[in-house]
Amino acid sequence: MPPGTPSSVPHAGRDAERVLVRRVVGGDRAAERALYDAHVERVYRLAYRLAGEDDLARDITQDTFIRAFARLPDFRHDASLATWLHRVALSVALNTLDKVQRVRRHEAPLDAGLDAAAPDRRADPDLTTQLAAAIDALPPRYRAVFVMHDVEGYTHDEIGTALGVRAGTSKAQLFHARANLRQRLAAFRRPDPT
Amino acid sequence: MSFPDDRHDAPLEPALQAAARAYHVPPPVPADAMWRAIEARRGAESVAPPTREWARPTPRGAALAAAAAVLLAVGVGLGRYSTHPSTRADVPASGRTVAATLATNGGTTSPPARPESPPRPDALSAAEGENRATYAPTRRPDVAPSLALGAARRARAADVSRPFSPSDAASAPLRAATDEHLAHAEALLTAFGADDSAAGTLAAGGPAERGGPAGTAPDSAWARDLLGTTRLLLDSPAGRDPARRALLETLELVLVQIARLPRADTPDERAFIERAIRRGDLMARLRSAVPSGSASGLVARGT
Repeated sequence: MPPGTPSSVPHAGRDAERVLVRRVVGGDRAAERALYDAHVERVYRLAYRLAGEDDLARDITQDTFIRAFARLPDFRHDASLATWLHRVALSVALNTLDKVQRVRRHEAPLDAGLDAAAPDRRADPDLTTQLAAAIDALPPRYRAVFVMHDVEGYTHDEIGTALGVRAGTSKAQLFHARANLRQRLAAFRRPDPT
Repeated sequence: MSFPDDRHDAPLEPALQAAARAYHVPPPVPADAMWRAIEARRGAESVAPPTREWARPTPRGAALAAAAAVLLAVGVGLGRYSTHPSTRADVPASGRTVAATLATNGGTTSPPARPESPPRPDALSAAEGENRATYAPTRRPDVAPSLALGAARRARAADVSRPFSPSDAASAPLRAATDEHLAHAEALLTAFGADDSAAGTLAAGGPAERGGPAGTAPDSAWARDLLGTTRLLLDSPAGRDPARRALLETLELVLVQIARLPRADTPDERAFIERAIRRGDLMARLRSAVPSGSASGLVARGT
C-alpha cells in the first residue's frame, strides 16, 4: 500500500476527532499542535505533488492550516477531519498554483516553453521526465485528480469530497486524465511485440 | 466521449505507473519549520489593528467596558504601589497613567518571565472522562492584547511572592472592579442562556446594538469585551486568590467559546456551551462571588 494511503476512520477515531476539534476551538494550543502533527504530512505531500517546489508546498501547507484553524468552529463533522483538511488544502493549492502560473506565464518569453503535445525525443527521451511534463500540462482539476488517485492513493470518495463533486465525477476526470497522458506519451510506448 | 465504467478505464501501464510515482516526490516534511511559520503568522494576525468590532464599539457596551477597565487599572495600580515602599507617594491619578507606569516599570526592571500556567481544569473534558494529561491547555491570546495586559503580567511576576489579600484596604478598587466584571459576565451568560439559536434577546447590561462583526453572533462581541478583562484580571493581584482564579479560568474558557460563535450558530453549538456552563457550575459560582447589590446595580442603572 503506497505511503499515505487513506483509510477509513473508525468510530472511536471519530470520537477522538470530535474531542480534539473541541479543544482546538477552545483555544488549547497543545491540541492545535496535535491536530497539525496528525495531518501535516499528508497535506504537505499533496501540496508538494501538485506544486513540485518546496517553497510553494510550504506556503500551501501553512495557508491550509491557518485557514483550517480559522474555520474549524464551522466544521460539522460531515466528513472526517482529514478529508475536510484535504478539501481546504486542494482549494488553497489550486488557487495558489493558478496565480503562480499566471505570473510565470506573463514573465516567461512566449517561445521558451517545451511543447508537451509533441515531446522532442532528441531533447530528453526519459519517460519519467516526459510523463512529468505531460502531467504538468494537464488541466488543473484533471491533474489534481490524477495526482491524488494514481500517485497518492486517495479514493474517489475522498477526492470527490475534496473537490466538492461526486465520486463518479472524480472517476470521469481520472479517465480523461489518463487518456490525455496516454495520448501525449504515445511516442514512448513500446511497440506491441506481436 | 462517454464515460466508461471501471471495467473500461484501465489503469496506466506498469511503466507509466512507476514513472507517475516518481512525479514530484516529496522530501521529508519540514513540520517544525512550517509550524513556526504558522505560529508567527497567526501571532501577527492576533495583534493586528482592531477589527471592525473593536473600531466600532457599541455605545452602552463600550461605556461599561471602559468603566470596568478604568476601575481595574486604577485598582491594579493602587494595589501595587500602595504595597511598594518606594512608591507609596506616587499613586497615579488616572488609569491611563497606571498602565503607562506599569509598562515603564516592566520595561526597566525586566522581571523574570512568568512561568507557564499549570494545566487548567478543563470543564469540557471532565464530563467526557478524558485523560487531561494528554493535553496541557495554555492560554492563547487570540484577543488583541493591550499594553496594560503585558505590563500587568510583568508586574505580577515581580510581585508574585505577595499573595493577594481580599481584606487589604488598598485592593478595594480592584475588588470592586472584579465584582462589577463578574456581574457583567453573569448578565452575559444569563442572556446567552435565554437566547434562541436564531435571534437573541438582550438582558440588562448587554450591548445596545445587536450587531457584531459580520458572521459572528451578537453575544460574541460582548463575550470578546469580557474576555479581555477576564484575562487582565487573571494576571492582576485578583488572580492570585485560588478560588477567584479558578472562577476566572472557567469563565475564560466559556467566553472563548461564545466569542467564536458564528452569527448563524446552531442549537448544537449553543447547547455545547450551555453544557460547559452547567458542568463548571459557573452561574452559581458567579452569583456567590458577586456581592448582592452589584448585579442589581447594573439593572438599576438601566444598562
